[in-house]
Amino acid sequence: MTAEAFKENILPLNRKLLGFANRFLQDIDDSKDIVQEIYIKLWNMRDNLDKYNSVEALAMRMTRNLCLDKIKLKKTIPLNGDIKEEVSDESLIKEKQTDLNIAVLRAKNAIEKLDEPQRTIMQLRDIQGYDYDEIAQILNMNVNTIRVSLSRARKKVREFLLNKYYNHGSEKNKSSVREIL
Amino acid sequence: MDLKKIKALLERYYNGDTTSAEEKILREYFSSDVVDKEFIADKDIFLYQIRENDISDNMPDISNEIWNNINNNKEDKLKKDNNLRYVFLRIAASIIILTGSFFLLKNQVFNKNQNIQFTDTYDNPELAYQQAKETLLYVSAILNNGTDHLKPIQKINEGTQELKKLSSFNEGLEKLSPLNTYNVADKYFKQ
Repeated sequence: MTAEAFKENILPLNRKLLGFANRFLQDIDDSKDIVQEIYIKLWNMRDNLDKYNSVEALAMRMTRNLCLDKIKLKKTIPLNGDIKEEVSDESLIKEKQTDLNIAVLRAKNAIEKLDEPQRTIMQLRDIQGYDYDEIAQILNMNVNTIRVSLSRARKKVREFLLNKYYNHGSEKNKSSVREIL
Repeated sequence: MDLKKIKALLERYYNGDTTSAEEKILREYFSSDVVDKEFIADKDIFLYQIRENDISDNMPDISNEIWNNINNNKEDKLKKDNNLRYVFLRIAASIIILTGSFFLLKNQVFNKNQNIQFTDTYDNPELAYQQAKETLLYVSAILNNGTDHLKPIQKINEGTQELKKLSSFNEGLEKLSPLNTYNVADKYFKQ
Protein backbone atom coordinates (compact mmCIF):
# COMPACT_ATOMS: atom_id res chain seq x y z
CA MET A 1 0.00 0.00 0.00
CA THR A 2 1.40 3.38 -0.97
CA ALA A 3 1.67 6.25 1.46
CA GLU A 4 -1.05 8.08 -0.49
CA ALA A 5 -3.45 5.13 -0.30
CA PHE A 6 -2.69 4.79 3.41
CA LYS A 7 -3.43 8.44 3.96
CA GLU A 8 -6.64 8.26 1.98
CA ASN A 9 -8.11 4.96 3.17
CA ILE A 10 -6.69 4.16 6.59
CA LEU A 11 -6.17 7.54 8.22
CA PRO A 12 -9.88 8.54 8.20
CA LEU A 13 -10.66 5.54 10.44
CA ASN A 14 -9.05 7.33 13.37
CA ARG A 15 -12.28 8.81 14.74
CA LYS A 16 -13.97 5.43 14.91
CA LEU A 17 -10.94 3.89 16.60
CA LEU A 18 -10.75 6.80 19.02
CA GLY A 19 -14.40 6.45 19.98
CA PHE A 20 -13.97 2.71 20.40
CA ALA A 21 -10.83 3.05 22.55
CA ASN A 22 -12.43 5.78 24.63
CA ARG A 23 -15.29 3.49 25.53
CA PHE A 24 -12.77 1.06 27.04
CA LEU A 25 -10.42 3.50 28.72
CA GLN A 26 -12.80 6.38 29.56
CA ASP A 27 -9.93 8.78 28.98
CA ILE A 28 -9.52 10.71 25.75
CA ASP A 29 -5.74 11.23 26.12
CA ASP A 30 -5.03 7.56 26.82
CA SER A 31 -7.27 6.70 23.86
CA LYS A 32 -5.32 9.03 21.59
CA ASP A 33 -2.09 7.32 22.65
CA ILE A 34 -3.59 3.94 21.82
CA VAL A 35 -4.75 5.13 18.39
CA GLN A 36 -1.30 6.58 17.66
CA GLU A 37 0.27 3.26 18.57
CA ILE A 38 -2.17 1.40 16.31
CA TYR A 39 -1.34 3.67 13.39
CA ILE A 40 2.41 3.15 13.80
CA LYS A 41 1.78 -0.60 13.73
CA LEU A 42 -0.50 -0.30 10.69
CA TRP A 43 2.08 1.87 8.93
CA ASN A 44 4.83 -0.66 9.57
CA MET A 45 2.70 -3.43 8.11
CA ARG A 46 1.38 -1.33 5.21
CA ASP A 47 2.88 -3.66 2.59
CA ASN A 48 0.74 -6.52 3.88
CA LEU A 49 -2.49 -4.58 4.48
CA ASP A 50 -3.89 -5.48 1.04
CA LYS A 51 -4.09 -9.10 2.12
CA TYR A 52 -6.78 -8.31 4.69
CA ASN A 53 -10.46 -8.35 3.74
CA SER A 54 -11.16 -5.34 5.88
CA VAL A 55 -8.44 -3.13 7.30
CA GLU A 56 -11.11 -1.45 9.39
CA ALA A 57 -11.94 -4.73 11.13
CA LEU A 58 -8.24 -5.35 11.64
CA ALA A 59 -7.71 -1.89 13.12
CA MET A 60 -10.72 -2.26 15.41
CA ARG A 61 -9.47 -5.66 16.59
CA MET A 62 -6.01 -4.24 17.27
CA THR A 63 -7.55 -1.35 19.18
CA ARG A 64 -9.63 -3.65 21.33
CA ASN A 65 -6.71 -5.94 22.10
CA LEU A 66 -4.43 -3.06 22.98
CA CYS A 67 -7.08 -1.50 25.23
CA LEU A 68 -7.74 -4.78 27.03
CA ASP A 69 -3.98 -5.26 27.47
CA LYS A 70 -3.67 -1.79 28.89
CA ILE A 71 -6.54 -2.36 31.31
CA LYS A 72 -4.98 -5.67 32.40
CA LEU A 73 -1.60 -4.02 32.83
CA LYS A 74 -2.97 -1.28 35.02
CA LYS A 75 -5.52 -3.17 37.00
CA THR A 76 -6.37 0.05 38.76
CA ILE A 77 -8.20 1.37 35.73
CA PRO A 78 -11.32 -0.78 35.90
CA LEU A 79 -11.29 -0.63 39.69
CA ASN A 80 -11.06 3.16 39.72
CA GLY A 81 -13.60 3.23 36.95
CA ASP A 82 -16.00 1.27 39.11
CA ILE A 83 -15.49 3.51 42.11
CA LYS A 84 -15.78 6.64 40.01
CA GLU A 85 -18.89 5.18 38.48
CA GLU A 86 -20.51 4.62 41.86
CA VAL A 87 -19.53 8.07 43.09
CA SER A 88 -20.51 9.94 39.97
CA ASP A 89 -23.68 7.87 39.80
CA GLU A 90 -24.76 8.98 43.25
CA SER A 91 -23.45 12.50 43.13
CA LEU A 92 -25.04 13.05 39.74
CA ILE A 93 -28.36 11.84 41.01
CA LYS A 94 -28.06 14.24 43.93
CA GLU A 95 -26.64 17.22 42.07
CA LYS A 96 -28.01 17.18 38.57
CA GLN A 97 -31.50 15.86 38.74
CA THR A 98 -31.79 15.53 35.01
CA ASP A 99 -33.62 12.42 33.95
CA LEU A 100 -31.45 12.03 30.88
CA ASN A 101 -28.20 11.85 32.86
CA ILE A 102 -29.59 9.36 35.32
CA ALA A 103 -30.95 7.16 32.57
CA VAL A 104 -27.66 7.23 30.67
CA LEU A 105 -25.62 6.46 33.78
CA ARG A 106 -27.87 3.57 34.74
CA ALA A 107 -27.54 1.98 31.32
CA LYS A 108 -23.80 2.67 31.22
CA ASN A 109 -23.40 1.02 34.59
CA ALA A 110 -25.41 -1.99 33.45
CA ILE A 111 -23.42 -2.40 30.24
CA GLU A 112 -20.11 -2.10 32.05
CA LYS A 113 -21.16 -5.01 34.24
CA LEU A 114 -21.24 -7.27 31.17
CA ASP A 115 -18.37 -9.68 30.53
CA GLU A 116 -16.18 -9.57 27.46
CA PRO A 117 -16.84 -10.09 24.61
CA GLN A 118 -20.55 -9.45 25.22
CA ARG A 119 -19.87 -5.86 26.16
CA THR A 120 -17.82 -5.18 23.05
CA ILE A 121 -20.39 -6.86 20.84
CA MET A 122 -23.20 -4.73 22.25
CA GLN A 123 -21.14 -1.56 21.87
CA LEU A 124 -20.03 -2.36 18.35
CA ARG A 125 -23.60 -3.01 17.30
CA ASP A 126 -25.62 -0.46 19.25
CA ILE A 127 -23.20 2.43 19.35
CA GLN A 128 -20.76 2.04 16.49
CA GLY A 129 -23.49 0.60 14.24
CA TYR A 130 -21.55 -2.34 12.75
CA ASP A 131 -23.43 -5.23 11.17
CA TYR A 132 -22.97 -8.82 12.28
CA ASP A 133 -20.49 -9.74 9.55
CA GLU A 134 -18.26 -6.82 10.47
CA ILE A 135 -18.43 -7.61 14.19
CA ALA A 136 -17.59 -11.24 13.40
CA GLN A 137 -14.50 -10.06 11.52
CA ILE A 138 -13.43 -7.65 14.25
CA LEU A 139 -13.72 -10.23 16.99
CA ASN A 140 -12.71 -13.17 14.81
CA MET A 141 -15.87 -15.03 15.80
CA ASN A 142 -18.72 -16.85 14.12
CA VAL A 143 -21.68 -14.70 13.00
CA ASN A 144 -24.21 -16.87 14.79
CA THR A 145 -22.23 -16.71 18.01
CA ILE A 146 -22.25 -12.94 17.69
CA ARG A 147 -26.02 -12.90 17.25
CA VAL A 148 -26.61 -15.11 20.29
CA SER A 149 -24.14 -13.15 22.45
CA LEU A 150 -25.71 -9.86 21.43
CA SER A 151 -29.18 -11.09 22.32
CA ARG A 152 -27.92 -12.34 25.71
CA ALA A 153 -26.08 -9.10 26.39
CA ARG A 154 -29.11 -6.94 25.62
CA LYS A 155 -31.38 -9.10 27.77
CA LYS A 156 -28.86 -9.06 30.63
CA VAL A 157 -28.67 -5.27 30.58
CA ARG A 158 -32.45 -4.96 30.67
CA GLU A 159 -32.68 -7.50 33.49
CA PHE A 160 -30.02 -5.66 35.47
CA LEU A 161 -31.80 -2.33 35.07
CA LEU A 162 -35.13 -3.81 36.09
CA ASN A 163 -33.68 -5.57 39.14
CA LYS A 164 -31.53 -2.74 40.39
CA TYR A 165 -33.51 0.36 39.62
CA TYR A 166 -37.13 -0.57 39.07
CA ASN A 167 -37.66 -3.28 41.71
CA HIS A 168 -39.28 -5.61 39.26
CA GLY A 169 -36.77 -8.25 40.24
CA SER A 170 -38.57 -10.11 42.99
CA GLU A 171 -41.87 -10.31 41.15
CA LYS A 172 -40.21 -11.30 37.92
CA ASN A 173 -38.22 -14.01 39.61
CA LYS A 174 -41.35 -15.41 41.20
CA SER A 175 -43.19 -15.45 37.92
CA SER A 176 -40.29 -17.05 36.11
CA VAL A 177 -40.05 -19.72 38.81
CA ARG A 178 -43.75 -20.30 38.39
CA GLU A 179 -43.25 -20.65 34.68
CA ILE A 180 -40.55 -23.23 35.19
CA LEU A 181 -42.71 -25.21 37.63
CA MET B 1 -46.27 5.51 17.44
CA ASP B 2 -48.14 2.25 17.70
CA LEU B 3 -47.35 0.58 21.04
CA LYS B 4 -47.82 -2.88 19.63
CA LYS B 5 -45.35 -2.17 16.89
CA ILE B 6 -42.80 -0.90 19.40
CA LYS B 7 -43.32 -3.93 21.57
CA ALA B 8 -42.76 -6.25 18.62
CA LEU B 9 -39.66 -4.34 17.58
CA LEU B 10 -38.29 -4.49 21.13
CA GLU B 11 -38.79 -8.23 21.22
CA ARG B 12 -36.89 -8.56 17.97
CA TYR B 13 -34.24 -6.25 19.39
CA TYR B 14 -33.68 -8.40 22.48
CA ASN B 15 -33.50 -11.50 20.30
CA GLY B 16 -30.81 -9.86 18.20
CA ASP B 17 -32.98 -9.90 15.08
CA THR B 18 -33.51 -6.21 14.37
CA THR B 19 -31.97 -4.51 11.37
CA SER B 20 -30.14 -1.21 11.65
CA ALA B 21 -33.20 0.58 10.23
CA GLU B 22 -35.47 -0.96 12.85
CA GLU B 23 -33.07 0.02 15.62
CA LYS B 24 -33.13 3.54 14.29
CA ILE B 25 -36.93 3.58 14.60
CA LEU B 26 -36.62 2.43 18.21
CA ARG B 27 -34.03 5.11 18.98
CA GLU B 28 -36.29 7.77 17.51
CA TYR B 29 -39.24 6.56 19.56
CA PHE B 30 -37.26 6.57 22.82
CA SER B 31 -35.82 10.02 22.24
CA SER B 32 -39.36 11.43 22.08
CA ASP B 33 -41.18 12.60 25.20
CA VAL B 34 -44.07 10.18 24.91
CA VAL B 35 -42.53 6.90 26.01
CA ASP B 36 -44.89 4.46 27.67
CA LYS B 37 -44.12 3.59 31.30
CA GLU B 38 -44.02 -0.04 30.32
CA PHE B 39 -40.70 0.56 28.56
CA ILE B 40 -38.95 2.34 31.43
CA ALA B 41 -35.84 0.11 31.45
CA ASP B 42 -35.64 -0.02 27.66
CA LYS B 43 -35.70 3.76 27.62
CA ASP B 44 -32.47 3.89 29.64
CA ILE B 45 -30.74 1.60 27.19
CA PHE B 46 -31.73 3.60 24.14
CA LEU B 47 -31.01 6.96 25.75
CA TYR B 48 -27.54 5.64 26.54
CA GLN B 49 -27.10 4.58 22.93
CA ILE B 50 -28.16 7.97 21.66
CA ARG B 51 -25.79 9.74 24.04
CA GLU B 52 -22.86 7.48 23.18
CA ASN B 53 -23.62 7.88 19.49
CA ASP B 54 -23.32 11.62 19.95
CA ILE B 55 -20.01 11.23 21.78
CA SER B 56 -18.69 8.95 19.04
CA ASP B 57 -19.78 11.40 16.35
CA ASN B 58 -18.03 14.22 18.16
CA MET B 59 -14.68 12.47 18.46
CA PRO B 60 -11.94 14.78 17.19
CA ASP B 61 -10.18 13.94 13.93
CA ILE B 62 -6.51 13.45 14.79
CA SER B 63 -5.38 12.54 11.26
CA ASN B 64 -2.75 15.27 11.22
CA GLU B 65 -1.28 14.29 14.58
CA ILE B 66 -1.11 10.67 13.47
CA TRP B 67 0.51 11.54 10.15
CA ASN B 68 3.11 13.70 11.91
CA ASN B 69 3.77 10.94 14.39
CA ILE B 70 4.29 8.42 11.58
CA ASN B 71 6.73 10.76 9.85
CA ASN B 72 8.61 11.43 13.08
CA ASN B 73 8.82 7.73 13.65
CA LYS B 74 10.41 7.28 10.22
CA GLU B 75 13.02 9.93 11.03
CA ASP B 76 13.66 8.38 14.41
CA LYS B 77 14.41 5.07 12.74
CA LEU B 78 16.91 6.68 10.36
CA LYS B 79 18.53 8.46 13.27
CA LYS B 80 18.71 5.22 15.17
CA ASP B 81 20.53 3.54 12.27
CA ASN B 82 23.02 6.41 12.12
CA ASN B 83 23.39 6.33 15.87
CA LEU B 84 24.28 2.65 15.74
CA ARG B 85 27.22 3.39 13.44
CA TYR B 86 28.43 6.08 15.77
CA VAL B 87 28.09 3.78 18.75
CA PHE B 88 30.40 1.23 17.10
CA LEU B 89 32.93 3.96 16.38
CA ARG B 90 32.76 5.13 19.98
CA ILE B 91 33.28 1.64 21.33
CA ALA B 92 36.29 1.10 19.03
CA ALA B 93 37.81 4.44 20.04
CA SER B 94 37.40 3.77 23.76
CA ILE B 95 39.00 0.31 23.40
CA ILE B 96 42.03 1.86 21.68
CA ILE B 97 42.38 4.54 24.36
CA LEU B 98 42.02 2.01 27.18
CA THR B 99 44.60 -0.45 25.80
CA GLY B 100 46.98 2.39 24.93
CA SER B 101 46.85 3.93 28.38
CA PHE B 102 47.18 0.50 30.00
CA PHE B 103 50.47 -0.19 28.23
CA LEU B 104 51.78 3.31 28.87
CA LEU B 105 51.07 3.09 32.62
CA LYS B 106 52.49 -0.42 32.83
CA ASN B 107 55.76 0.71 31.23
CA GLN B 108 56.03 3.77 33.48
CA VAL B 109 55.56 1.77 36.69
CA PHE B 110 58.03 -0.81 35.47
CA ASN B 111 60.65 1.83 34.67
CA LYS B 112 60.15 3.53 38.05
CA ASN B 113 60.79 0.27 39.90
CA GLN B 114 64.05 -0.04 38.06
CA ASN B 115 65.06 3.54 38.84
CA ILE B 116 64.57 3.47 42.60
CA GLN B 117 68.10 2.85 43.82
CA PHE B 118 69.92 4.53 46.71
CA THR B 119 73.16 6.14 45.79
CA ASP B 120 75.60 7.85 48.14
CA THR B 121 75.67 11.64 47.97
CA TYR B 122 78.41 12.09 50.66
CA ASP B 123 81.91 10.73 50.51
CA ASN B 124 82.71 11.26 54.18
CA PRO B 125 80.46 9.25 56.59
CA GLU B 126 81.18 11.70 59.46
CA LEU B 127 79.91 14.62 57.39
CA ALA B 128 76.81 12.69 56.41
CA TYR B 129 76.05 11.90 60.09
CA GLN B 130 76.37 15.56 61.00
CA GLN B 131 74.07 16.62 58.21
CA ALA B 132 71.41 14.05 59.17
CA LYS B 133 71.56 15.09 62.85
CA GLU B 134 71.13 18.74 61.92
CA THR B 135 68.12 17.98 59.77
CA LEU B 136 66.42 15.88 62.47
CA LEU B 137 67.01 18.57 65.12
CA TYR B 138 65.46 21.14 62.85
CA VAL B 139 62.36 18.97 62.41
CA SER B 140 62.04 18.37 66.17
CA ALA B 141 62.31 22.10 66.88
CA ILE B 142 59.40 22.77 64.54
CA LEU B 143 57.35 20.01 66.22
CA ASN B 144 58.06 21.51 69.67
CA ASN B 145 56.90 24.86 68.43
CA GLY B 146 53.54 23.29 67.59
CA THR B 147 53.09 21.69 71.06
CA ASP B 148 53.95 24.99 72.84
CA HIS B 149 50.55 26.33 71.85
CA LEU B 150 48.86 23.56 73.83
CA LYS B 151 50.29 24.67 77.20
CA PRO B 152 47.32 26.92 78.21
CA ILE B 153 45.22 23.72 78.48
CA GLN B 154 46.96 23.06 81.87
CA LYS B 155 45.04 26.04 83.28
CA ILE B 156 41.80 24.18 82.74
CA ASN B 157 43.17 21.34 84.84
CA GLU B 158 44.01 23.74 87.66
CA GLY B 159 40.48 25.17 87.54
CA THR B 160 38.86 21.76 87.92
CA GLN B 161 41.17 21.01 90.87
CA GLU B 162 39.60 24.00 92.70
CA LEU B 163 36.14 22.58 92.12
CA LYS B 164 37.00 19.48 94.21
CA LYS B 165 36.44 21.58 97.34
CA LEU B 166 32.71 21.41 96.58
CA SER B 167 32.68 17.83 97.90
CA SER B 168 33.15 19.11 101.48
CA PHE B 169 30.01 21.21 100.96
CA ASN B 170 28.22 18.01 99.99
CA GLU B 171 29.31 16.34 103.24
CA GLY B 172 27.96 19.27 105.23
CA LEU B 173 24.59 18.97 103.48
CA GLU B 174 24.39 15.28 104.30
CA LYS B 175 24.81 16.07 107.99
CA LEU B 176 21.70 18.26 107.72
CA SER B 177 19.52 15.38 106.48
CA PRO B 178 18.13 14.51 109.96
CA LEU B 179 16.15 17.76 109.61
CA ASN B 180 13.78 15.80 107.36
CA THR B 181 12.27 14.15 110.41
CA TYR B 182 11.40 17.60 111.68
CA ASN B 183 9.54 18.24 108.44
CA VAL B 184 7.52 15.05 108.84
CA ALA B 185 6.69 15.90 112.42
CA ASP B 186 5.61 19.37 111.32
CA LYS B 187 3.17 17.94 108.78
CA TYR B 188 1.76 15.55 111.38
CA PHE B 189 1.12 18.42 113.77
CA LYS B 190 -0.60 20.46 111.12
CA GLN B 191 -3.08 17.65 110.50
